[in-house]
Amino acid sequence: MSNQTDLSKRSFLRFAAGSAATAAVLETTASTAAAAQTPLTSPATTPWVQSLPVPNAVGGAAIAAVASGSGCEKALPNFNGCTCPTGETTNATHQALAACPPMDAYEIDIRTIQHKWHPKLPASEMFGYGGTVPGPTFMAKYGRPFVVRFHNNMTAPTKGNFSIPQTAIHFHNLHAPAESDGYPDDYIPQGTYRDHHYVMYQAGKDTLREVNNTMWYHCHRHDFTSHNVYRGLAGFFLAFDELDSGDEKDSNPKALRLPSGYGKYDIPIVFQDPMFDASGQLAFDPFNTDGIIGDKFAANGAIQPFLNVDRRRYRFRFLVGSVSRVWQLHLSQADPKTDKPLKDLAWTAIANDGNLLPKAVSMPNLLTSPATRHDVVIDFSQFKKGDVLYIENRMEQVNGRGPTGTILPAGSGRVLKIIVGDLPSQLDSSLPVAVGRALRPAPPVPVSSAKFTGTRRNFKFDRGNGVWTVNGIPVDLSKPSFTIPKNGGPEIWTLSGSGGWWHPIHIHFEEAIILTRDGKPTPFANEVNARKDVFLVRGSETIEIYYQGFRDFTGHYVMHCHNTVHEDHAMMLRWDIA
Amino acid sequence: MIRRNFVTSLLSGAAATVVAHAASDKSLKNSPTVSDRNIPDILVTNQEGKEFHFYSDLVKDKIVMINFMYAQCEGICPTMTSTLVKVQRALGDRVGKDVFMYSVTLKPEQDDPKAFRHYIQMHGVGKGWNFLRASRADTDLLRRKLGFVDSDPKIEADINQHTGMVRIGNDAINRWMACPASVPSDSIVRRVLWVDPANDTRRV
Repeated sequence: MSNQTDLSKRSFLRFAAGSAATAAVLETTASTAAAAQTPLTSPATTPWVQSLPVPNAVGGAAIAAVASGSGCEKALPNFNGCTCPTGETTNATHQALAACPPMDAYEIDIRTIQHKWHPKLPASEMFGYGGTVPGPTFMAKYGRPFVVRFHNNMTAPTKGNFSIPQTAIHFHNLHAPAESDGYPDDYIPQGTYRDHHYVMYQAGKDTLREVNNTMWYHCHRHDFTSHNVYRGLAGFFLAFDELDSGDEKDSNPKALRLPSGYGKYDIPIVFQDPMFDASGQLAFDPFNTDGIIGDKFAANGAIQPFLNVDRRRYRFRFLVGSVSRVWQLHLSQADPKTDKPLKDLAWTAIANDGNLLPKAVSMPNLLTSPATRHDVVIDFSQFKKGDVLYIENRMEQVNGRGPTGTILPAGSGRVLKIIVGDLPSQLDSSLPVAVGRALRPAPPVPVSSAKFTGTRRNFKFDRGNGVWTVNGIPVDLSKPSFTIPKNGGPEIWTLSGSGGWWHPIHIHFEEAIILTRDGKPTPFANEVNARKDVFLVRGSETIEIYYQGFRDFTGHYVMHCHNTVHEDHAMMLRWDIA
Repeated sequence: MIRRNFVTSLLSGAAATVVAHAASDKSLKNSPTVSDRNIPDILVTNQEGKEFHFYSDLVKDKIVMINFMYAQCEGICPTMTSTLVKVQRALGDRVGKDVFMYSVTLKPEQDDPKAFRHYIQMHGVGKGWNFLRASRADTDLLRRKLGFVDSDPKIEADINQHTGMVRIGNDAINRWMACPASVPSDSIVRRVLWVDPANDTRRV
């Protein structure tokens, strides 16, 4: 890739495909499939001219912690809807409030803001939790329940043909009571607020194994999720416990002492692929029901940024925040003078969907899709000052159906440039993460699928008459498709695709372990005994997943495709726990 | 089913709000809006034989619902129309005033105004809902621009698998969405209310 991405019409197609493309790609793009999509070429932008932004952590200017160490009734008047507050948008009773009295309270102001994706582009009109894109990062601790009051102060968009100034807020995939889960119909109207209560205990109170560490929160407004997340309504949510304590100097012998220091050596990165109109405004196509594939690669709201690193260990928490794009992430070392790729390096993967793996595994690349998280550790002490690495997405994709099947060559799809610098001023106190190092034990899967006698549920993700469906039915939030007994024990669910479409399926509330892909053990080392909440169904593939159960809370939850264009066009299903 | 007076109260004053909003935002008109880009101004004829320019006469600055059908369809059309008739009844006399319903035929060669009038009578379609036909080429163009195209050429060529989606939008503020016509009618009514900015401050 040249340093100057000069985008002509043809180079848009190339860029949309992830980078250097062949004539075959151009033909594919020009097919009927793409004709339905508005042809759009984003203005040219020079890569590697801005540094990687890191969102503020809670406690920064965007969020006011209004109470600490006590109940929140004083801090948030009318909390719990107990006196029919004038502002809170529902009277939902917080079912776990008595059991988990909040120790902290926060207020988040949700606003319409101007955000610059690149120094050479004008600011785009965006929505921002806490007034930033991405939103501020929550830093939570297990055992420390909290409440958040979300104020919807967004104004109606004046630019673009998408979005609604309302939001439902899903903490993906925190173990949250239904009324605080960001159910799609629990949206917050303009000028009002809603309170969420987060219990901060592990599913089934399994304090060792059912811990989620890297999560995110995002808009889940019914039918407008793709619009609103694309316009900026997303942020990270990190949770810490005894093992993953966020302190690499932790004296607790149980602490894993992973690289820590938020924003310094522990860096969350959301990857996205936005596109822009001729005036440089963020652009979207609400008339496309297949999926949106943008023509820019961005990290934390910045197009192709760079990151200067010290020569020590880092933890990165990757999230795909795309509307529809599937990514395959490679770590590639390049010649600092010519920028040509030198060699690929394997990832040391420590978590899948934010859940620490039983042991660290080596991955040649990371196949990932909307909403999926991958935590990795990179030891930069192996490099010398001035060395250059790129994070590259080599997965070619030209429409919402799924990847083309072509993996692009090294040097393609560069998203983030990493420049190796000096030794750190303080010694690296984190412990090495060699492949095979034990991290967090997985919950038991006591029987094989063949011998399992508990409840099974099957889901087919399909399309008929241009309508996205689950088991042949488009979304109907008015009633549950099925009801699961609370604490009713393990279940096996089967997720199947059809028609060659790829669907990242997200199931709210509990984590599951993949038993099989197409009847065989998963070929991905980082999916073995890994607790997950997004399951990438590739074409007609069938995935079997195992649940420990549906524990602790009751109410309405959903499962849906996290290609949010599919989700917004009815590929969602409501299920309840009672 | 949402009561009619409830719906009426939510929609009253909507038109004024919409116009004021659009007029105050010049940048909206200068930028390549979806209206310029996506909705072609093709010539269409309704059940009474009246001619319209699709975008400038029927969509511009309006809240609209648009679906595709044909009179002889024995597949999804009868159910789709019957659901939309329920939507029309729930919206009451707003249809044709604040909300405009359009059904465009996929078989313009067969569906002349007479066939439309027969269909309207058979399905109990009320006033203010236009059934439209365009030339074959314009029909395909409109369908594509509204996003109702299948990327699988086999499905695209099979009329029995034609779209069951309803496009819902408010051109004045450029807010567009779509939903299947096979969902409960009251949930379609809600979606129509969602594209009206007068309802942004409340749950409907």
